[in-house]
Parts: sequence; structure tokens; C-alpha cells
Amino acid sequence: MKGALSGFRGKFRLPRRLRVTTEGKGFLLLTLGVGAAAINTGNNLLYIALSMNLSLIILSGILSEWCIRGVSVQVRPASEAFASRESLLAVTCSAAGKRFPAMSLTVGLAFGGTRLTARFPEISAGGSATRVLSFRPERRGALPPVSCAVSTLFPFALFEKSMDAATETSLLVYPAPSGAGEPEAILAAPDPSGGAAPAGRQGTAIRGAREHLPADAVRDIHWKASARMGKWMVKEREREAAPVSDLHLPAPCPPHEFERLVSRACDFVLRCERKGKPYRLWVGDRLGVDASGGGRRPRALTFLALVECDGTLSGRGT
Amino acid sequence: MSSHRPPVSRAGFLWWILRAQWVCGLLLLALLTEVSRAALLASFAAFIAGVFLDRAGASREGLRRLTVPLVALAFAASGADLLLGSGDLLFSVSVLVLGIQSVKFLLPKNARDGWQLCTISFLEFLAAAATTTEIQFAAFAFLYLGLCAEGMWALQIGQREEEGETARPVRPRFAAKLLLFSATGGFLITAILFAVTPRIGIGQILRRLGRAEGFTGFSDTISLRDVTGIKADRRVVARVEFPALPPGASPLSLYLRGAVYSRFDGTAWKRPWGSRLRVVRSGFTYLVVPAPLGVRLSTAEITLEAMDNPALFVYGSPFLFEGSLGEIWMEEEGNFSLSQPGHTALRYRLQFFHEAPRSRIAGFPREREYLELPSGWDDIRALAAKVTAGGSSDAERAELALRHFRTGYRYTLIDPAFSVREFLFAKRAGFCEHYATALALLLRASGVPARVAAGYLGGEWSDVGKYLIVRMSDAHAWTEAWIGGRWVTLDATPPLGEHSPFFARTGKVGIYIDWARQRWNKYVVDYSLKMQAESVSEGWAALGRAKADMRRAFSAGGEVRRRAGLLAAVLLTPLLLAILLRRVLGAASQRESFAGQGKGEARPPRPYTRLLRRLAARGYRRTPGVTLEEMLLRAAGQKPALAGDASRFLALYHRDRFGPFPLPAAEFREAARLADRLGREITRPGVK
Repeated sequence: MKGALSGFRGKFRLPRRLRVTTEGKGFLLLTLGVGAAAINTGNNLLYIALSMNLSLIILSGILSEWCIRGVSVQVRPASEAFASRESLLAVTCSAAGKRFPAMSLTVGLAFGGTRLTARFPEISAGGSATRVLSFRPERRGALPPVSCAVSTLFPFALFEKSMDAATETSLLVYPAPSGAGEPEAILAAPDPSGGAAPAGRQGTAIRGAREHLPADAVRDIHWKASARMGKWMVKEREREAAPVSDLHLPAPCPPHEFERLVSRACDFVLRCERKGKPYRLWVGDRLGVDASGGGRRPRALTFLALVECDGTLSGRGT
Repeated sequence: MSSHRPPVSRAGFLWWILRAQWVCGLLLLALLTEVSRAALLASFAAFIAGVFLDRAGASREGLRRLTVPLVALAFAASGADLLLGSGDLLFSVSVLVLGIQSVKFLLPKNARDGWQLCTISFLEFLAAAATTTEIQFAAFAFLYLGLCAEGMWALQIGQREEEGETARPVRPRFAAKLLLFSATGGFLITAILFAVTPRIGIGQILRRLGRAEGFTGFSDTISLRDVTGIKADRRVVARVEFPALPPGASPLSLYLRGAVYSRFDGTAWKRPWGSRLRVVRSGFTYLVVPAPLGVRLSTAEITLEAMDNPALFVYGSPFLFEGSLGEIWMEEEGNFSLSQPGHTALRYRLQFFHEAPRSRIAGFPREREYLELPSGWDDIRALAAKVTAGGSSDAERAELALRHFRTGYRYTLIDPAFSVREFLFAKRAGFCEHYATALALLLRASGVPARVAAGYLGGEWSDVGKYLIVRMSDAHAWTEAWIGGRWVTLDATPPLGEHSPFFARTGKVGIYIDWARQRWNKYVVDYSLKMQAESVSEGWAALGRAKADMRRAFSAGGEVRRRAGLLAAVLLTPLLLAILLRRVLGAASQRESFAGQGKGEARPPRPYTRLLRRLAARGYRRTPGVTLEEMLLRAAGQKPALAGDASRFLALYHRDRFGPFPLPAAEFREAARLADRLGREITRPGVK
């Protein structure tokens, strides 16, 4: 019912919002005064002055509309976002397909209590500009959808016209890595049998090639395969000898304690990635992230960002 | 005013436009109003000084300390003007405003000061609008509109600068386009709004501020004075259009009457100032007399220039007036006047009888008054008896008296007779007033009631606008006689036409200028609710006609059915062309949007592009994926001394290009300085 109501409201919401600035209020008052004088005296030249003022208001509306129409905003993370740490967002404002430059634009972003502002003095017709904003997310998890508003004071600063810009940005905040030593409480003994983890060059026989991971050393790059595939590939050898560490997060677990453990797990994951050590992530008795396969780091961090104290992933169920 | 306030944008083109708007307000005051010239001169001087000081970026600490005394001086000057000078409140207020404006011109300005100066400039514009009806105002209004738009844009940029943005130079081509668009688009919108805004003059708070000073004349008396000055005066008194005239009637032969005079004391004619009646009014229509059946009415649309007397000029015998005229008063003799003692430019439509209808009342109520002669003027009676001998009726006697002036009388402005007796019996030379007076006296002496009328005869016909231009030089006096139950115009003055010593024909350019002025007066100065109502009714009627035409055309055997194929082709071809054009343009625009970022990243500010050009000149060409940072570090790597500057520049560059806000002015200047230095060092021979 609530959703239907908001949908109904959204359908009939005006596409633009107007705020009268202080100068605009003065201008409107002056126009009212001129109108009163014109009506009172019947002097046609005062009617001209009144019409001039009204035409400036209309011109302001036309020009600001030309300025703001067709502007698109793209918001994307410019860095990995960790809770309680400075993170970066890239806001790209584009005037692609426009014939009128976008002037004096202000882009306002709002998500989860955070408000950010970026200014674009001029974007030439067909061009775009990017600004990077820093923010500090409070806690891990998926951030609520970013609402984005584009506003301009162009041309006369009498009114501030703004519109909502559609952004399909999903921002994910990883847990704050806590650097409190080795996470013994959650770290199980390394599996000596190892796994198909891509690390080291102890093995001799090359089994195949796989996609490059951040932890892979440059010396393992399979140049021929990289050239063929158009992306970085690394050699995969028979029986990698590095032992796989298993990281267990107890579930269910009291929320406060769980958050602490998730932070430590995050720190551990980052350290493993830095050192190139293979690891697996478990929640309760369920394997969350396997040591093999590409994109382990983002998978692991995403898992840690979304995992709930009962072992489920927020928004995804178990 | 704090010393570290940032100045209003010095971004070239807009900076000048903003100042141009301020000076335009002053020019309007100077050219179209009578505001104190001393105050205006002081303002102009302050403006010029302020421009120099602003350009130099002078701090003006000393001037700031003088602000209060200078404003106090302006108050004192204004007060002195009110008490000892003009005594006019509006005039004194203008002196005060000009004083404050002068002080503001001299001091450094931020955006708020800019807005204040723009407001003062607009008040000056309003003052000009309230006190003039000159056509020059139209040109100024057009210019002022464009300047206002551009000036406000400059102030908007100024405000952003004060909020921490850098003053980026505005591209003159874009600014010029915007100026042109604002002026023309604004003009069109202004014209539409002006036309549709209902004209309601309620007049409850202040009276109309328009200037009521204009042409003098048509006072209570008319004497045989020197009229050379009037005859040499080429100023336009009225412009008259004739939508309806009887066949054969020429506008050049019509008498535009201002007043009639019936009492003659031997030297001058006087108005008797008898009782007067308010003309019956219904809305904008004033009915003077009920229209007799079968009489054809003529129509004149008269635009009178500003006058300092209330006379309402008429042709022939008025039937009704239409216009926004307030109350109209009619004297017993037929003089018409307005309530107020003077008026600004005035427009009204007059319907009149070309020949006055005959009175239904037998006799003439004030006959004795119109037959009076000064005592002891028996010589006039004798002359009248001699001249009109043989005339059996008033009409014949009048004709004989008129004929008398065609024998041996001479028109002159240079050497006229000093009195009417000298004119009749000795010199026989004079101008229209001599002729009119002499004829009236001869008619009275022969028993025909007569009076003298003053006004204008004919004028110059404008073929461009199809209207009559009546000038001061067309001023004339003539005689009216009561013959056959109506007042008949009799003019004894010989027609001079091109033989007049003051005859002058307006050149082609002058006629066009006058046409523009006439249109300005008609459609702007005197635009009224009545004209609006007429436009609506005419539009409605045109719509009705169009509907009827359409119905006729689409009816069986109508034009459309007969030429259906041709019409379909005519209508469909542009439609198809429009669809085709839209598709082509749409495809082009889609291609552009598919290309993603269009032209790509917006062009960086000029110092950065200059650095990129210099790097390119040294062989560090920019390729996709290569950043300015990489290029610069490679270039700077050849000369370690540049490393410090390069890293400082890159820090500023990244903040400016990708930070949440562009750099503040001071940091941007530093970045530009570093970019310039790096560019010069890199391009210096031997460094690669």
C-alpha cells in the first residue's frame, strides 16, 4: 500500500523543483511594485518595465531548462569502501547529446544520512566532467540507493532549479578491517593438502592458465595466453604447495561479537591477499568463499560485507 | 565592508556588460528626464573612476573611511534641493539615489553590491519610463533588457566565485549569443506580455506621473501678436488618421479646432467662460449630440502630443469621442476640454459631422453676443454695409464679405498691421488672425453672428503611414458664422501652400522616423484597454469568418473538394519532410549518444590545455589512457629541478579537475602559474 502510494506520488511529482533565492525574492518584490505602479498610473511605459521583468523570469526558466535538460549523472565507487574509513565516490556529470552547455551545476548526493555535493561550473555541450568525493560510511553492508539531484542557478541566480537524476548505483561497504593481531579465534589450522589455490611457483608442471588475481605475482603471468585472451592470465601449476587457511565465522552469534569477528576476518582476508596466501571463508558449517576461482578478493569482501550474524547474506537469504 | 571580500567577477566580457547596464541607467536619466545635471555628472565621474579602480584592483581603504561622510553629503544635497532648490520630492530623492550610487561606484564591489547597483540602475530605468513618452525609450528598453540579462548572469558567476569557485573566463562567443538571445527573445516575450496584460489604470495611490508640460497656446485670449515664432516651429502637435472621410474631402483642408472666441475688446478675442456641461459618458465612449438620421459621419483618430492646456481638439461638429480621456467638458460655444489642466500624449477617436447639422431650435440663443462690436467702430459698420450691399441673406452677405479679402489684401508675417482697423483701412497686410478678426467683425457689422476659431489647418500628409502630421507651423485662425441654423467655417486668409516663407517638406528619412514615432504613440504610449477589447473582438470576428470560410470550402462543391488532390499534396509534403528531417536528426543524435561521452571529458581550463600543448610540442603526445600526470612526470624526469613544482602542480590539478569543487581563485592562480612555469621549462631547448 505504501509502495503504491509513493508510486502514485512519484507519477504526479513535478519534474523540476524551484527555489527562490534571496535575489529572486528581491526581484519578485520589485516586479510586484512595478506592476502596482503600472496598474495604478496606467502608464504604458511602466507596463513595458513590468513586461520586461516578467520576460526575464520566463527567460530564466527557458535558459535554466536548456541548461539542466539532458544532463545525466553517473555515480560509481572510486575506491573500495570500508566502514569507518575515508572512501571515494566518482561523480560524472555528462552533457552528452546536448546542444547547450550545462552551466553552474551542483550535484547533490544523498544516501543513508550522508549528503555530498559536487560542483560543475561548466560542461560544454556533448562533454562530461568527473569529480571525486570522499565520504566515511558508518557500517558495513549495502548502502541504500543513492538519490541524486542536479540543480543550477544559471542564468540569473533568481531561482534554483533542480531535478532528480536517475542513478543505478549500488554501493557496498566492506567491514572495517581491525588490525588486532592474528585472528586466532576464527582461524583454523591450515589444510596441509592444499588446494587449487593460485599462489607460488613451487609446482613444476603447468596445468593450465587462469585469470589474474591481485595476489598473483607478475612473474606468473602467462604472456601468450594474456595476448590471446586480451586480459591478464597467469599460469596454473599442478599441486600448488601453499597451504590453505580456513577462516570460520561462528553463526549464529551475538551481533556485537559477530561484527568484531567480521572486522578481524576482513583484516585477515586483506593480509592474505597481500601475501598471496590461499584461504577459505566459512560461516558456521557453510563454505562462503572458496579458495579457487577468479575474483576471490571481491567475492570475499562482498561476502563479509553482507553476511549476517545468523549466517545468512543480507538481501539474499542463505 | 571587509577588505578581503572578493570582487565581482572580472571575467572580461561580462564585467563590461555589468558596467554597461549601470551606465545605461544613468544615460536614461540624462537623456529622458530632467534630473539634476550636477548629480548626474558626479555619478558619471564616480562611475569612470570606479571602473579604473576596479580594473586596477585597488583596495581603497581611504575611500571606505569616507563612505559615511559621502553618504551624509548626498543626504544633505538632497535635503537642500528639496528645501531650497526644486522643492520636488521625486527630484530630491533622485539626487540622493545618485549620491549613494556614486559612492558605491567608487568602492570595491562584491556580488551583493553588484545587485544593489543593478537595482539602482533599474530604478533609474523606471524613473525614465515614468516621465517620458519619447520613442528613444524603446531603443533603450531593448538594449537595457539584454544588458539586464547579461548583468545578472555576471552576478550569478560572481556569487559562485564568492562561494569558492574560480573565475573562469566566459567564452565571449557564448556570452554574445546569450546576449542576443536574451535581447531578442526577451523583446518578443515582453511584446506579447505587454499586449496581453490588461490595462487597468485605477489611479488610487498616485496620480499619473507623466510629464504634463508641452505645447502652449489656446489660452483665454487671442490677439494680433507676432506669430513668426509659431510659424517657424516645426514641432509636431498631433498626428491624425482618417479611417472614414466623405468622398472628395481632403485631410489637408480640414480645420482642427482647439477653441472658439466670441468677445472682442478691440485688441484681443476672449473666451466668455460661460456654463459648461459634462459630456455623457459610457465606458470609453462620450456622446456629444444624438446622431441625426441619414447624416454621414467622418472619423479621425487623433494623437495629441503633451500639452499644458486642457483643450481637446476636434474636427467639424463632434458627434462622439472614444478613448481613455477621463471627464470631458463642453462649453456652451462648443469648446471641449479635459478635467486636468494639461496632459501627456493623448489618443482618441473622434466621430464628427463634416458639415454641422442644422439646429432644430429657431433663432440663435446668444445672438446679441455674437453681433457685438467695440463701441465707436462705425467705420467698420460702414465698410461692412458697403461690402455686403446687395446680399439678401446671411449666406450671400458672408460670401460678399469673404470676397472682399480677395481684392488687394496681402498675407505677411514680416510686416503685419498692428490693429484690425489698420489692416482693413490702411495696410491691408497681415496674417490669419488679422483676416479672421476682420471677417468676423465685418460679418457682425452686417448682422451675421460670427466668432473666431483657433487651431490648425491641414498639415503634412505622410504617404508611409497614411496619416496627417500637424505641426505648430500649421497653427491657424479662422472665422465661424451662424448661417442657416449652424456654424459655418469661413476662411478669409489666402491659401499660401508652398509660397509660405516657412514652408518645408519633411525628407524621406524624416517621414519614416515620424511614422515610427506615430506607431510608438499609437501602439505603446496610448495602448489602452479599449484597444485590447477591440483586438479581442476583431480576433473573434476573424475566427468566425475563418470558420465560415472553412465550412464553405469543405461543403459540397467547395474549393477543398474540388482540389482535394492538390491540397493533400500541399499539406502532406511538409509533413513528410518534417518526419524525414526528424528521423535524420534523431539518428544523428542517437549516434552521438551511442558514442557514449559525446565529445568526451569537458575541455580543461586554459592553463592546463596550454601545458598539454607544450608537452605535445616536446613529443609527449596524449594518447587514450595516458594521463597528464604520467606525461608530466616523464617530462619532468628529464630535469629533476622541476619535480617539486610538478608534484605541487599535480596536487592542485587533481583537486581542481576531480575534487568536489573547483579550486578557489587564489589556488587556481597558483596552479596556472605553476603550469605556465612547467610548460616554459619543459619547452626550453635542451630539456627532454
